[in-house]
Amino acid sequence: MTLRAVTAPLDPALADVAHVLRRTTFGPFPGQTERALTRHGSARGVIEAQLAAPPLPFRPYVNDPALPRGGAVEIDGIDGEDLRYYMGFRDWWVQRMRSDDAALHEKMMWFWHSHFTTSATKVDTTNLCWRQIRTLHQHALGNFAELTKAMSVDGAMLRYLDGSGSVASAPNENYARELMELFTLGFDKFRQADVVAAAKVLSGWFVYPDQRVEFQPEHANTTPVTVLGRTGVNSIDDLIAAILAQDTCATFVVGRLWRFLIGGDVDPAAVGRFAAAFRSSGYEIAPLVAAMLHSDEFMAHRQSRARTPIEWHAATVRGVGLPLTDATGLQQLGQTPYMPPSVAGWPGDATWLSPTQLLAKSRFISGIEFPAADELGRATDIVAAIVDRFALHGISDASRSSLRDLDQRLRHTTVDDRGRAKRVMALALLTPEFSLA
Amino acid sequence: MNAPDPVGPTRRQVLGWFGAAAGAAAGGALLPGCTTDARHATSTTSPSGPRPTFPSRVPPGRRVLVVVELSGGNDGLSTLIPHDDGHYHDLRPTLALGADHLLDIGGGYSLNAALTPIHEKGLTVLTGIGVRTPSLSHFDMLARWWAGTPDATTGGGTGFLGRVCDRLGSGDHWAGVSISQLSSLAIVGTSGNTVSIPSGEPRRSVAAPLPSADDEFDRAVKALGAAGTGAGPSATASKSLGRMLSASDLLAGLPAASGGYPAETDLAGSFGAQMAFASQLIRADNGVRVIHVTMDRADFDTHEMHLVRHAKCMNVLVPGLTAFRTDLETHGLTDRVLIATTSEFGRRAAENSTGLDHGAASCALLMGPVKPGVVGEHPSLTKLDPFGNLVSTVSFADYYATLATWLDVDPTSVISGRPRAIEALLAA
Repeated sequence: MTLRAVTAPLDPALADVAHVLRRTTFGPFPGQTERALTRHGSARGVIEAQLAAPPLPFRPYVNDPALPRGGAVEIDGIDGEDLRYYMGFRDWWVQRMRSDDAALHEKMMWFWHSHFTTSATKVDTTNLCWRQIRTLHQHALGNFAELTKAMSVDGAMLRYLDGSGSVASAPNENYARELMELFTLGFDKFRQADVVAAAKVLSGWFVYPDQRVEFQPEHANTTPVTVLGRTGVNSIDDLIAAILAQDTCATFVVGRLWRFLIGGDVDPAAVGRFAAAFRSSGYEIAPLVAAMLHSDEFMAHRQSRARTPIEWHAATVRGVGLPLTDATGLQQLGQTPYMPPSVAGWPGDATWLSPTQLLAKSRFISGIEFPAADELGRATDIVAAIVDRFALHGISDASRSSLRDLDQRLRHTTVDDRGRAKRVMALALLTPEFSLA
Repeated sequence: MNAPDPVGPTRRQVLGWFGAAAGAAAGGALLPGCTTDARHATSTTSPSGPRPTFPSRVPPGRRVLVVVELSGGNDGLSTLIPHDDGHYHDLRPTLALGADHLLDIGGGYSLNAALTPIHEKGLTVLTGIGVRTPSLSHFDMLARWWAGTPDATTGGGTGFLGRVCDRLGSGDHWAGVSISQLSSLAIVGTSGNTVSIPSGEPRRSVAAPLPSADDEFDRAVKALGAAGTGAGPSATASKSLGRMLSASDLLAGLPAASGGYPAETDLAGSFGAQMAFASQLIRADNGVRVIHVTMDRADFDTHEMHLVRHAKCMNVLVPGLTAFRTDLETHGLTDRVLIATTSEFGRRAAENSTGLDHGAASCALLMGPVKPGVVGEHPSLTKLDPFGNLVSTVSFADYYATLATWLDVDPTSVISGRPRAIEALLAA
C-alpha cells in the first residue's frame, strides 16, 4: 500500500486544537487549526488566546441604526421593506461568524441568542433585532444578571414575548413565564402565582412603531408583590434579584452552557462545581466560561455533540470556498438567525443527527457550488488535502476509508478531477466527524 | 387537582349534531363515561365491556390516520363558540367573536365561520379535551401530548404515534411519517419504522449530475452509513445516513403531487404543500399508515392581538385541509383517512388586554369517517380552575384511544392507564 506515503501523520496536537476551535468558533476554517497551533503552541494556549481575543467590532448592518425608521412594516411576518433589511442583517451576522477573526466572544453572542430566543417574524422590525445583538455583544462575556435585565426591557424581546403593551391592570404573562422557565430557572421551578406576580412587575413597557422603547409609569405596577418567596418586589431589578437568588438558577444556566461548550452527558457534580463558582462570582460569565474550557471535562468530551446547522453551514461554506455572506440553505437546514422554531429555541442532538437532518444536508449539498474543487482536484492526495482543509484531524479509519474508496472508484469513471474533488468533499461533509462539534 | 365539581343539568351543555334544531340535542352526543361524576374515566373508573371498534367497511389494514398539530395552544372558545352564554361575553369583552365570524350550529353554539369550508365537507368537534392536571408550560404540555401521557412527561422517549407505528409493523417498511421541518418526538417509536420529512422533494447526489459518478457517491454514502456501530453521537450520525437513504427511496417512489392546494406564495402555501405531500404518501399505498403534520408556519400562541392572529391561523389551516379533503374525494380515499387535530392546550378564559394567555381545556377537530357534529360536554364558563382556565371534561388519553382504535390498535397497548375510545366518535 502506498497510503502512508501520501497521508500526513496524524498530529494529536492538531486534533486537540481543532476540538478547541470547533467549540469556541464557527470553524475551524481552512488553515486555522495549523496557524493556531503554530502561534499558541498547544490546545491550552489556543484556549487562552480565545479567552483573550478582542470582540469583533460592532458595526451597522445596512443602514444607520441611529435613524428611527429601520424598515418597520405593518404586517406580521417578514416581507416588504423589512425582508430586505432582514436579509441584509442575516448576511451581516453570518459574515461575522465566518471571519477568521471571529473568536469565543462571537460564539457566545450566538449562544445568548439561542438562549434568549427571539423571532424576527414577530418582532417585525429588523433594526430591533440588530439592537438586541448589540446588547448581546455588550454582555456576551459580561454579567448574566445585567444581561437578563437588559433583555427584559429589550425592544425586540418586548415585542417577541408580548411585554410591549402589557399593563399592570391586565398583565400579559408570556415573558414572565418564559423568563423563569426558559431563561433562568427551568420548568417546574416556580408556580403560576409567581408568573402572575412577575408579569405585573414587568408591565408598563411599550415599543412604538418608530422603535422607541418607553416605560410608562401610569401603566406599571404600583403595589409590591411576592415572587419566589421574596416579598416587596417592586421593580425589574428586584425581580431579577429574586430569580437569581434561587439555587436552581446557576445550575440551569450552567447546564445550558454545558451542552454548548462541553456537550454529551451532563455530569451533575461538575455542573454543581461550575454553578457554585458562577453564583458566588455574582454571575460573571467570563470566569465561568474560562473554568469550563480549562476543565478536564472539556478536553475529554470530544465530538460529544452535534454541530448545529449554523456551525455546520459556516464550516461548510468556508470549506468548499463559498462567499462568506452565503446564507442559502440555512432555512432548509433548520437554523436561521432570529427564526427559531419556538421560544424554546433550537432543538438538540436528536434532531441534528436525525435522518431528517441528513436528508436536509444531502439536499443542500446537491444544490451548492464547490469553488475549492479546482484547487483540491489538483492535489496529489485529495483525501489528505480534504482532511486538512475541513479540519478532520481526528477522523476515524472507517470514514477515511470511505473517502479513499470513493476517490479510487471515481478514478475509474469519466468524471474529471474537479468533479472527483467535489464528490469526495460532499462525502466528507456527511461524515460523522464533520457532523459533530 | 381538579376535583369533580357538583354540576347540575342546568349547567351541563349537551351538544347536538350540526343541523339539529337548537336545544334538541339531549342525549345523542353525550360522552360515554364523561358524565360529571365520572370525569377522566381513565383514572377514576374502570370501564368494562368489549373494546369498541369503528363501524367502518374499510379493512383495518387499509386505514390511515393523519394528525395535524396546531402548536402554540389553540383557543377552544374561538373554535366552538358558546355565543348565547353571557359569561362568554363577560370573559371576552373585546375578544368575543362578532356575529360576522360565527356559523350558528344551534343549541347556542357556533363554529368559527372560517371553518365553513371544512364544515361543509363534514367536521366533528370534540369539546372539553384536556388533562386532569394541566400545566401552563408549552413545552411540558407538548411533551405530554407527544408522549401520550396526559398527566406526566414519562413517555420513555417514545411518542404516542411512534408506539402506534410499532404496533403496525416491523422496521422493514416505513409506517409513520411526520411532515415537519425538524424531526418530531411525536412519531418516535422503538422499531425504527418512522421518520420526519419536511417535503416530498426527492434527493439528488451533487449538482451537475453524472450517473456513473453519482452511483459511486451513493454507494459511498451507504458504506459510510453502514460503518456506524455501537452508541454515541458518532454512531447515531452514521446510522442516520443509512436511514436517510431509505427515506430517500420512499420519496423516489411517490406519485405526483395533486393540484388544488394553496399556492406556495399564499399565506397557507406552506401548510398546503405539507398536506399535498401527505396525499402523495397515502396514494403511494406503500405501508405508511400514520402521518403527522406540524403547522410550522402557524402560531396559535395568541398572547396578544388574538383576533387578528387567530384568524390568520384559521386562514392557514382551513384552505390546506379543504384542499386535502377534496384531493381525497377525487381519489376515492375519503373513507380510508381519519384526520384529527391536536393542540397542547387551550387559552385563558378571560382576556388580558388584547390577547389570551396559556389555558387548559380546548377542543379537537376530526374529519373523515366520523359522524359530523359536536361531541362532548362543553367546559363550564363559570366553574374555572384556580388559574381562570376551562376545566376539561375528557382526557386526551381517550381521544388518543379513539385514534388508535381507528387503526385497530388496542389502546391499552400504547397508552397507559385505562384509556377508552370515545364511542360517540365511532359512529360511521
